[in-house]
Amino acid sequence: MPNIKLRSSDGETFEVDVEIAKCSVTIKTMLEDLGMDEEEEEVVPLPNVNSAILKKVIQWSTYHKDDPPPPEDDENKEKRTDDISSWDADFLKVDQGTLFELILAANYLDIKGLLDVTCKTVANMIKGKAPEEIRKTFNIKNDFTASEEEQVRKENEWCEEK
Amino acid sequence: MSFAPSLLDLPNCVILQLLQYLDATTLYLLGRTCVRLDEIIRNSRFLWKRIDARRSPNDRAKVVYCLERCNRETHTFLVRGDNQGETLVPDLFYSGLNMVPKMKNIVVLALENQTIHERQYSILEFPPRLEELSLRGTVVAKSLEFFKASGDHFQKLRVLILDECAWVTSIALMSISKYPALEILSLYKCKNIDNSIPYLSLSGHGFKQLRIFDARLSPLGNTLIRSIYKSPCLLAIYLQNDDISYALDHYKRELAIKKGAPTRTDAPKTVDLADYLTEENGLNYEQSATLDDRGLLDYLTTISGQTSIQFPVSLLYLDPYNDCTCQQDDKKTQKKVTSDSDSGDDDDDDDQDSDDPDLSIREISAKIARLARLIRRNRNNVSYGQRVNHDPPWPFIGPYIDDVLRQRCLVLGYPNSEGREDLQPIIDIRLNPRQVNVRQFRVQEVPREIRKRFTETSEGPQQKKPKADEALPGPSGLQPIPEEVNESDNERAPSPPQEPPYYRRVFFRGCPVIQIENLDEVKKDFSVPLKRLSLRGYKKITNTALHYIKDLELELLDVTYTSITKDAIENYLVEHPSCRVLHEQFCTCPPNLHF
Repeated sequence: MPNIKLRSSDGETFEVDVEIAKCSVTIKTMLEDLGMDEEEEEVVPLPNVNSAILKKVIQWSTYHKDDPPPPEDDENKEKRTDDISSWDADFLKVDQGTLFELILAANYLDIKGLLDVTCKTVANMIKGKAPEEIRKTFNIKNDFTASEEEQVRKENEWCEEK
Repeated sequence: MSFAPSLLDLPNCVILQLLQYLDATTLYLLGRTCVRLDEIIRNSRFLWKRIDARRSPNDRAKVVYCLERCNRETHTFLVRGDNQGETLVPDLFYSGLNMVPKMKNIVVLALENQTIHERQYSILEFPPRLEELSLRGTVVAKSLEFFKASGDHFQKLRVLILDECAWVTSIALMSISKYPALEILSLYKCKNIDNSIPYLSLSGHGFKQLRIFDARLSPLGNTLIRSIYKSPCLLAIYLQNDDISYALDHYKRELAIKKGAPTRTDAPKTVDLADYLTEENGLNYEQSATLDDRGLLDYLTTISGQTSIQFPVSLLYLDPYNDCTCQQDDKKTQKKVTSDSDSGDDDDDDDQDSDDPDLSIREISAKIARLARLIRRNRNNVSYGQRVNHDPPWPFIGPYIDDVLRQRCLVLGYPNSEGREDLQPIIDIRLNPRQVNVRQFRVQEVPREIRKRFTETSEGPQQKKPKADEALPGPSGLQPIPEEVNESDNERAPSPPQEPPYYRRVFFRGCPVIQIENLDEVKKDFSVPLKRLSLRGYKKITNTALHYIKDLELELLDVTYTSITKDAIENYLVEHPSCRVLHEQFCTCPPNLHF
């Protein structure tokens, strides 16, 4: 199997099987469109992904390389978040920073499966929480101005009087 | 890593990816955390194509917020109050439901636990394009004419859920039965639907597409089944008595919650059975009269057919029966159920079985029944004079179709000692079905080898006999085969002293083959596709009921808390090895109850 070299933002180079690298639609298109010759000793720079994250992405792609392509989204159906495989769940037991970096990397590299499963993980962290709890979990600052709060309160009032 | 991104460091397009996984309630709460998220959520129309705001917390502000998010692309709108009779949805909504353009494309609508105060409100106000509608727990204040003349209104409505709607009466069924596309009707806990014979029998002429009729914990019983048993597409009738069975199910569920099996937050502190055996929990013995054996009598004139009809898929309706998870008690039955569930190509299992010296007569009969079933299923693909299934799962008995007499007949035979080609008949029904009552064939002769095998494995017939006998009477309703019927047979079956008569009965009991021959003869029979039947909790359902429904090929039968005995079910399973029977001593998985 031919290999390909990927260079992370902090300069580390990873050698991966081309098939695994092609889990990323971005890399796949790059190879196909630009006609990068697999024989050449060329290195694909990935300026948006650091080595720690790239390592995780490669780990994920290696495990999932034989997965069937994810089914087309049916927008009419409810998107489930409780169908994360146990391997993925273990794989994503990371701190929040890493999780969001993985989302960014999956988005940049266009790896649908990884993006789906990371988004589901975050969605599960949001579900069932009150606004204040969500703020706490994700370190979000309440930046509604007093007048905006007032607006919301008024909307509610309109509801109450009915 | 010097820089750890947070949720808000993600670009909008990625945040939107994430938001797709959240339901309306979560989106609403998330939008209240900060300005940026609020704007993204509020203004992304595609997030609001499917609005599912049923999850708690529920308040009016949330419902109104969701209503405001409705747009022309919204196809699903689901709200639910926490308790019955709430008024989260403003009355304004109902009066504009059919007029507001942004509501027009909604096809799935749930307005649960609400109160509709509007005067003279009618279901005609609902968008006619609806495919699924749930009014579970919703109170319609002026309900008398709610369904009036609505038969033509919904051309596409497939699912109608009126659970816990005490204002629904059997008059409503007359209109509902005319909905041309209705596949699922759920009347769970509709306390005031009565067994009005005129209304029910009239509605029985409708329901042309109905697949599932769920009337659990409602007073519907005999009259309902008699009215709808002929419905051409009906796959499932779910009934459950609203008395002690409900209390017990409730009790068991609470117990399970207490053990921590399902994760629920509202687990009760103490669980005492006595608490549940109260009037409040619907302990009403009078209602148990609504369904008894007589209600199922009409199924005597039906046979199974039309296997092509599929169970409908629904977003709102939750089927009460999940896959079996208990796997307890009668392991053998369970095993049979699972191994026979697909069409029977899993021969490995059966070959193993056949090497097992402990094969009981019951199991052998089951195998015959199954083979016969296979033939029936493939009936049209079998040419006459051809042996079916050359390599039968059970090596001793192979079904055999012969046309020597230029008429259909079926021989269950076994291969002779030299090989398999020459089948010697054990059961030969090479008789003219027109002349003979098909239930009265008899075994010509039980070959010695078979006989020997039976007697050897069961340590002598004398010991086995009582067991077989006690399994015989009653439930499956098989009369002993009269000796004198078989006039075309010249010699009587030899009856050596050691041969107990139950051989014959066993074979006939396990031989629905007879009905194959019967199919063409009895023209008054019509086929019904019924696959699932729940009679849970009706004490007046007895073993006779199993006899009445014996010609249905059910895949699921819930007779928990009825008077049906274990023996009767075992006999039933001989003829219907692939049926999953729910009963205290069989599968004990509880059905889903919407408490």
